[in-house]
Amino acid sequence: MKLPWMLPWLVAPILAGAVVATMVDVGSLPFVGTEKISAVFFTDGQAYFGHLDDNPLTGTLTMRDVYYLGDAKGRGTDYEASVVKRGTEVHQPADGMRIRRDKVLVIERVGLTSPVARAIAAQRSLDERAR
Amino acid sequence: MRGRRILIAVVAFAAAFAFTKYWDFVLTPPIGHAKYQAIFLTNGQTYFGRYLDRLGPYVKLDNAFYIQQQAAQQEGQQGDLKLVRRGSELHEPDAEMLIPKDAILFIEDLRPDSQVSLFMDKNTR
Repeated sequence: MKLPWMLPWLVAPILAGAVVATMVDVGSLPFVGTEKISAVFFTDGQAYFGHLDDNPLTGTLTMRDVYYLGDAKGRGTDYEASVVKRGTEVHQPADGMRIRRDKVLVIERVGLTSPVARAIAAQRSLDERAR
Repeated sequence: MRGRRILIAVVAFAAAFAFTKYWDFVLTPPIGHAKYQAIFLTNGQTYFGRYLDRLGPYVKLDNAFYIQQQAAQQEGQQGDLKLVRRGSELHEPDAEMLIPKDAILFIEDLRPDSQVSLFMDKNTR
């Protein structure tokens, strides 16, 4: 039995659904639930925190709204951790860090009540006040 | 007729999306089928937990533990080794860890009666 209509109306949507599911992390979408912050640890020991877009079809990950650990002692705050927003360095990079996947050691989801998440929230409110 | 086909396409897309998300490309562990595995990374770190092989660039490690060396009490001595569950760090990560396959040196099954397995049995969430 030939069912030529199945190709565009059944097989193609199934393939598209599988491919889109591979590329989209539902939990990371801004309108779904609470914010999702990822931690990316590099093979050289560096760690960055932010919103991660990970397309497995490419060799790179893209991280936006990026923070890294700073010196908590020098800040004079009660927070256990202190973070610095990426972009304030000498070369003032724009938002959006493209990371080579072969340089990544581990990816984890940051707990929203963790010291790092609270430090990011505090840094964001400081940045907004400064604007 | 056309409306019915569009409905079939939407349902097929949603079903494929949901199934792929549920499946998460997890394959059966390639070695042994032991409950826990040790994963040795290229930077020298070792993690213990439930290793889940996946299609694509990452493997998943559930309920990860690692060995932490405590500070030595006296100079010249080595500190005690302690097995710690991942999750109490500054960023308090979720139980699930994604590791690029390139970052793995090798994987071993743990014996069910090993000290590490017994400790993880007691302390798994």
